[in-house]
Formats: sequence, structure tokens, C-alpha cells
Amino acid sequence: MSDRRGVELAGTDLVFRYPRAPRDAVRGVSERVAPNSVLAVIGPNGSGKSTLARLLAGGLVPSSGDVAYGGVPVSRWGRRELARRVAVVAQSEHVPFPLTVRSLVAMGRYPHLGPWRRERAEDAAAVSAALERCGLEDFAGRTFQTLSGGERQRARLARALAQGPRTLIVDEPTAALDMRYEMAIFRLLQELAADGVAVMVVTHNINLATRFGDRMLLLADGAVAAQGPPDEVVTARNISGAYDWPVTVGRQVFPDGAAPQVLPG
Amino acid sequence: MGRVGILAALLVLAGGAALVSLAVGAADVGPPGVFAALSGGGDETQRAVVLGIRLPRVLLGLLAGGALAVAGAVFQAMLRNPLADPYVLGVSSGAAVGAVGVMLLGAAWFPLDVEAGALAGALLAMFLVLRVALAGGPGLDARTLLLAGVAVGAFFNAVILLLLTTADAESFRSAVFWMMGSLANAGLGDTGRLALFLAPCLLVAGLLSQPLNLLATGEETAGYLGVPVERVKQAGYVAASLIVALVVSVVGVIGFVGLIVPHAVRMLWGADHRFLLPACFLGGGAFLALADTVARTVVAPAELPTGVVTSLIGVPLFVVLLARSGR
Repeated sequence: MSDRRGVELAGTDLVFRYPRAPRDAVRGVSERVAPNSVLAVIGPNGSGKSTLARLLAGGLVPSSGDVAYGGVPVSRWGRRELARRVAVVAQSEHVPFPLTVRSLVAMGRYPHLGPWRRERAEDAAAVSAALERCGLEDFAGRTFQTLSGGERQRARLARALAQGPRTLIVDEPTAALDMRYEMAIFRLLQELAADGVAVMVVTHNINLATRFGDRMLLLADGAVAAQGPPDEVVTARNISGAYDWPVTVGRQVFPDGAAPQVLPG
Repeated sequence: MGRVGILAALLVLAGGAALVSLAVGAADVGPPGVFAALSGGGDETQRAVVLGIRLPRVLLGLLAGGALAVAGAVFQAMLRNPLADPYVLGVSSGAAVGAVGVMLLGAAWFPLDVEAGALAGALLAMFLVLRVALAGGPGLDARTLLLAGVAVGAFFNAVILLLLTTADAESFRSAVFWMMGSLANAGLGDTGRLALFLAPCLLVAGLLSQPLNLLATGEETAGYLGVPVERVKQAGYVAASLIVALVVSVVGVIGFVGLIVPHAVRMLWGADHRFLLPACFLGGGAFLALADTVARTVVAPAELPTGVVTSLIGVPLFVVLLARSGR
């Protein structure tokens, strides 16, 4: 199995309309999620970011256009085969029954388990490593329902890491997190990319997107407003146009490099 | 205590419930008499009572209670609704129409006995609900399914009331008693046949336990984790509905076991279905066997409907559990 070799997830001319919706949620978007890099997707509310994430993850089937993983159409991949390679953290989920954090994270091993679904030593090791990487060692025995919003996000990210993915799609992972954990998660995504993982992150935090994204996609009204390196995408003109709000874009030097930063006007 | 330990304890509990149930009744046999009868010795009358009358009923209680609790747990997980019980999709209403129809209109209209009529009604309801839910769009949507179940159930309930208005006092009484559920009138043959048909359905439910864990966190996420969501849902709904149809056709509509036992097990030991389903089977069986013992002893030689007793005993127990769990 070629699990370890990074491959590209690519969507071409994607169009999607939800049933009974008056207009397309995604209109002719092409984008690729490549190994060794972080793709940061930004855009106003309702611009199609989450829909695009679902289309690329295989959770939605495009009305037209196609999605390929490693050159093979996603529809031809088995669900399990894909789940061993591509992990997705959806925007939200509701867990109606009590469940420990460890059990939740262990679900990430599901696509790797044999026919009897017994957890082997390597599965337990992957779960422990994922818990540790997300700073959840002390929470393993806690019930998911008793966690704060930020802890829940980290538990869900840990489940995705337990999948051992080569491609990771995260939809607003830091929506409920304080500054420290927000930074920790973006650093984690950066580390994963350095390890060879192809990362796509949907976020509302433009200033972290420019710092941690190797490539950016700005969506507006379901279509591509700009795509490319952060310096080209995050310009005052692009951002104020897409968000319909005046902005000032400066350039800030950080210890790990310089990046454009946006201040709303 | 580990999970294996808890399951072993529940198995002992179920065995104890069976022993008590075999020992007490109109003729008080006592545990020594039960063991003597089971090993083929002892007093001949006692042997006849224990093996001939009580044993089929106890086995039926263990089997029906366990199966209903498993079906309830499966419905709750797939509908992602803690209020779901085995009867939420209208299967029991269909069974009741079949049974009451045969009782009231008799063999002239339906060339079936009550059990076969109930099974036919249950299967009809199950087919209708799944058919209606699938017509709503691609895939089985939990909300559509719930609404379809409630709608089909309400329609069948209206048919039952319509049938009852035409009934004379005697058949009215027997119809109402059937709907309250009873383990009486069961032979070893009925129980054996039920076990034979239930076994594959329970096996399917067991095989689905890990996918159900994932499904309980949401269909989208389960899909991303590699669960073939639609296939699991179809297999789960069909298996759980068949379990309910089979059980109801033999024992009538015994309420409460399938709603409360899964909740009690979850509160006590968590929601992992790989443990929850076997624990529900053992706990539900023990609970129904005990409830039935109460049903046939408190006003002996008369009997209370078992379905009434399950609620009368179960509700206070559950309320205590609910208050203690602090959720």
C-alpha cells in the first residue's frame, strides 16, 4: 500500500447547488490540496468554504466538475480506503450519548481495523499519540459532553490525527478556541504539513491564514475571488471587495517569516 | 469491574431472575425443587409445573426482553434520539392491527392465527415506513423516517380503534389484553421458533455495533471515518424492525423495556455499543423475566398484563437512576 506517499487532492471546475436552493453554493472552483503544504481557505460567511471542503472530502457529490485523489476520481475510492488517507474535521457535530474522549479519538482507527474490529497495539499507540499531540492526555477518561468548546475541537482534531491521514481537511478548527490554543492548532497543522501531510484549513482568521498558509484561496459568493500565495491573495483590494468592508493591509515580520496582516477599517 | 466482569454479572442476574421466576408462583416450588425438576428428578407435579408451564414462559421473557432492549438501543443510536423506543417506527401498531383484525373479524376475513396476523401487520408497517422514508429523497433520513413511522403508526392506531368499535365485549377485552402484552400461552416451540428467527437479526445488530458508535456522532463524520453509512442504516433499521415484528407477534406490545433498559445501561456503563448491545440483551431479558414473575404472582391466581408491570416497576427504578446520575 502506498499510504506513506503523499498524493494530491484536486477539485476541477466544481459546481454545487443544495436541493431547492435558488443559486449555486459553489460556482466553478478549481483548487488542489498538495502534500507538504497548508492551503488556507478564507471568505465571508456563506461564501461556499464549507461546501467546498465537503466536496473535496467526498461528503457531497458535485453537480458538475470532478474531484480526484491521487489522480483517481474520489467516487471510485472505497469509503474505507479514502478514510485511511483523508481525515476530515467537520465544522460541528452533536454527540447525543455520553462518550469518553479516548473512545471518541479511537474512532479514528475505524478504517484501519480488521473484520473483527479489535483494537491492536498499534491502534492504541496511534490514539495515545494523537491525544498527546493535541494536549489531551489528562482528558482521555473525561466524557466528551463535559468538555469546553475548545477542548471538544481538540478532541475532534485528535480523532482525525488518529486516522493517520496523508490529507487533512479541517473546517474552522479554531472557532471556539482562545489565542493560545488557536496558535497551537495552526502550529500543529504547520508541523503536519512539514511531515508531508496535505492540509486544507477553512478559517475566519485571515491573519493566521496568511502566516501559516503556504497557499490561500479567497472565496466570494461561491466563486474564486483570488488564489495563490498569501501575498497575492491578501491585498486590500481583494479583501475589501470580498468582505464588502474597507480594510488596511500591512506587512508584519514574525520570527518565522513575514506575512500580510489585515486590519478592518 | 471490567466490561467482561459486568457482562458476567448481568448473565448471573439473568440466571437468577430465571431461577426466581421458575421457583415462585401459584405452586411454590422453591429453588431446590427447580434444580430437581431441571435435572429430571423431584416431584412429578412440580416437574410438570416447572418444565411444562414456567420454563417456556421464562425463556420467552428472557428472549423477548433482551431482543426488545437491543432493538431500542439500535433505534436510539440510528435516529440519534434518546426518546426512540422499539415501537417508534409503527411496527407495533401494524402488529396490533393484524392481531386485533384476526381476533375480531376471525378466520372468515383472515385465514391466519393471531400470531401470523400480527407478524403480517408488523411487516406491512415496516415496509410502508421504509418505503415512505425512501420516497422522500436519496438515502434514509432520520427525521423523515421518524415522521413516516409516527404517521403510519397513527393511521394503524386509528384502524385499531375503528375495529374495536365493532367488537363485542369479549373480543374487545381479549384485543385490549393482547395489546398490553403477555408472556402467557407460550409453548417451548414458540420460544424456540422465535429464537431461531431472532438469532440472525441480533447477529446483524451485533456486527453493526462499532459502525453504530460512529453513526451516533453524526452521519457526515461517520462517512469520513469510513463507515458505509447508507448500508449500515438500511441493515440496522431492517434488523431492528424485524426483531420488533417477531417479538411483538408472539408477546404483544410490551412497553418500556426497549426504551429504558438501553438508557439505564448507558447511564451506568457508557454508550459503547460493543458493550451496550450485549448488556442490553442480558439486562432486558432479566428485567422482563422478573416483571413477568411479578405479573403472574401478585394477584394469583389471576394475572396482570406484563406490559403494565414493566412500567409500574421500571418507572420508579428508572427515576431513581435518573436522579442519581445527575444529568
